[in-house]
Amino acid sequence: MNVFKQTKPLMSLPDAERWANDAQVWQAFKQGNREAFEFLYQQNIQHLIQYGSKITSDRSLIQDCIQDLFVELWDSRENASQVASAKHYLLKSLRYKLIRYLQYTPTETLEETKFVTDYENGESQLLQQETVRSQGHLLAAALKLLPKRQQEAIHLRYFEELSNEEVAQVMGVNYQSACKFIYTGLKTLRHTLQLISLLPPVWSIYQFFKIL
Amino acid sequence: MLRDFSSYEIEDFAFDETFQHWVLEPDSPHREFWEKYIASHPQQTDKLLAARALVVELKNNPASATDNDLAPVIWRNIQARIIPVRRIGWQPWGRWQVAASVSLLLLLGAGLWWQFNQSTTNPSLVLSKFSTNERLLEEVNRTENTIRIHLHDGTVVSLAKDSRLTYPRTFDGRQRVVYLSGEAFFEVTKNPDQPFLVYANETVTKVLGTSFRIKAYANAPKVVVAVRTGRVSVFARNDFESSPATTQPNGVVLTPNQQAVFSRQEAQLQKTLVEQPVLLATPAEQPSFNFDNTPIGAVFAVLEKAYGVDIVYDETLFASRTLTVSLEDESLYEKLDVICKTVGVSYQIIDTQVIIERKNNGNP
Repeated sequence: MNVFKQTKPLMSLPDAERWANDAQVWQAFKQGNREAFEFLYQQNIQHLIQYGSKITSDRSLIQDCIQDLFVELWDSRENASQVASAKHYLLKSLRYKLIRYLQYTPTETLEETKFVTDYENGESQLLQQETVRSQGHLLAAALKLLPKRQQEAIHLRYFEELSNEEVAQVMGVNYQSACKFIYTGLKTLRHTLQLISLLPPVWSIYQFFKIL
Repeated sequence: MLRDFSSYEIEDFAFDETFQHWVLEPDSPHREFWEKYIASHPQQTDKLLAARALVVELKNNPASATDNDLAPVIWRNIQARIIPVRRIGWQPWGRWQVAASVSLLLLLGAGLWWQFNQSTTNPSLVLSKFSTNERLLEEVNRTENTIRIHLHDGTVVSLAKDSRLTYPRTFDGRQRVVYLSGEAFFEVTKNPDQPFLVYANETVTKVLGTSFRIKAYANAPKVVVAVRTGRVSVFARNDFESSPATTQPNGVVLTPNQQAVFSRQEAQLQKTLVEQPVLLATPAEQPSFNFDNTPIGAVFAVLEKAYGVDIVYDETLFASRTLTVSLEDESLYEKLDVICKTVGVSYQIIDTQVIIERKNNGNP
């Protein structure tokens, strides 16, 4: 699936219309056009913050890495190669920076420490979370129980709407691994959420599976 | 698609890329397929709708809500770091540069403290001239171009990129002392009463008034001091600092077109010719390189004088031969090539001397 999705910049940029597509923005940026650079920033910053938060909960680290990413991008703009998708390139670069940093800090690892194999255990953990109030929060809580890499892959696939192939590229893993992260994550979500749906007090799960 | 859709679970639907596309895009080309699927697999309807809800929820996940506070903060910080500040050679400092500078200052401070204390027992140490109440300035060239720094005594330093010069605001002591890390060309104002010293890695270069280039990058294996004009003394820093004040330490004396190469691993100084010797005289007083039946010995004498190099040869090689050739803008080595080819000899550079020898003895 390769859908070109127009993302609205958060700040109004009248110049945005000047560039018809990613390639043109990128070209203008490479030539030192600061408006193109800002456009790239505004167009992608929310994606980067959200994606970063799937990799680490350390907001100041995410902030530092995004700053470094854009400063380095600007400094080396003349040597930057043409990219197919600026967003994918930025997501991948941010991931690389975060991972490289996290590898040196033992407090937060990317190992699958939170892997939930025991669904009952997952369910009780879920119920302990105060956020289990509305259907949206229920899903958010269930997602948080997934191993980081599954959360990350599911975020890329369903929020960013990347294809399996693109998820693999951004995460720097092979196609099979990316599919496995996504599929296993979905399966765990289904189990966790379904189990809860059987519990009488949690009315919200009915809403969740309600016919649209 | 060869999969058996009839037994699809919720996660199988959700995982399917065409399914996701159909859910999120009203005009999806996959719409027909999935509508047909519902019609032909009514028992799957619940699962399919659950999968649909899951995909929609994941797309609208509140945990992925936009963060309107952080974005402007990050942008301001990026702006601050990429707008060049109008101060030559400097760019706004990131935290690494700040950290590096702090540690450099600490090191420098420790070094000064050490030198200051040492100087009470060993007055020969030049660094005592960097007394603690003297303000030190530091210039780091982070631009792509060479920048020129004018020192208080009129000396001009052309600092290459990625290089650092540390120097006092005024030269008050018996000596003028600066520190270099990286590469710079010095045009030192003449002052025989106050020698000019450049500390660069493990070397010290001492001059009275002259121009020369030093290459002393922190991570390079060699330090190179190349002289353009005047006389320059180069010492290994250890020898320089450990020699008593009354005696001259061991070092090499360089004249124009000579360079000293200090091998940091072996801590040895070696004297050679520079890669591109230049003419010593000003253009107005340039010697003529038009030779007409000139004796070979006289030709070499002109070159020796013009470039300040020694040319060593056995006169019996040429006997009474003469040379007629017109030379101009060629480099010293190109000129030597032409002359040697014409005469039928070869040359090689050993240390600072050009050795003329018979051809075809070993390498052509």
